[in-house]
Amino acid sequence: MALKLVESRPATEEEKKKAQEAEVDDRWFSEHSAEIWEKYKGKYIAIVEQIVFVGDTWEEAISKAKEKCSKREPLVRHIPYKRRIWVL
Amino acid sequence: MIFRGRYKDEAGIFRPYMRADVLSPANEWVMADFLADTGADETFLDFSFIKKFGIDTKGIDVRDDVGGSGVPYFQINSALKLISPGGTKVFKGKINIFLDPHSSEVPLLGRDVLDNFIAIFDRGQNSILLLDEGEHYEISVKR
Repeated sequence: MALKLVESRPATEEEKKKAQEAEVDDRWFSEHSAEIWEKYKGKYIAIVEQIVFVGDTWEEAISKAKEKCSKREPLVRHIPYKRRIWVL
Repeated sequence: MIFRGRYKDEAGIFRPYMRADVLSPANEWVMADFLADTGADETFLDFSFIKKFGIDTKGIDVRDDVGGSGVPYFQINSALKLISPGGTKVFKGKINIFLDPHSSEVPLLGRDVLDNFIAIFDRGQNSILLLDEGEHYEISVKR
């Protein structure tokens, strides 16, 4: 069975804080995504507190981010070497 | 509740993403940017989540009925959480994971989730808005 909506509720204080922090990072990533894609081709990046942590693997990027910001969960992305058209 | 996503400029291609938490088999919420894909019947995680989740793929039930092209994937029991300052929506059930790294480079948020909302894709405002049943919108035409 595919995903089904099972719960709709007010956000907890922890979730609100996480959403607000993620919103700031997301806005920053959106504004800087072009330069990040150009600069870190072929790398994994972890973003937290508007800082980019770079690694050759997912584990390396996330571990660098957690070393600096242990209380925040970073967003991790892989930046491909070359631009691809997606038809999904 | 309104959930907001953004377009990301990926080498000159602007793609719409929604941030969501997905529950790992170890019962940990992992944050990810999902491509908001209204063409996908269901939500899929990309190949990288096999490693991120530490999944042993030996003995899994491989499926190949995506899009008629035979792209292999498997399913796990999981949950997905959308969070906004106004509230939280939790989805539970089977979530699909691609076995082929070339199938998709990012997770896809499919219509099993998106159809629970009014979805507005506004490239000009750099916004993807998901409105739940408590919200509404109007279109005004400039004359």
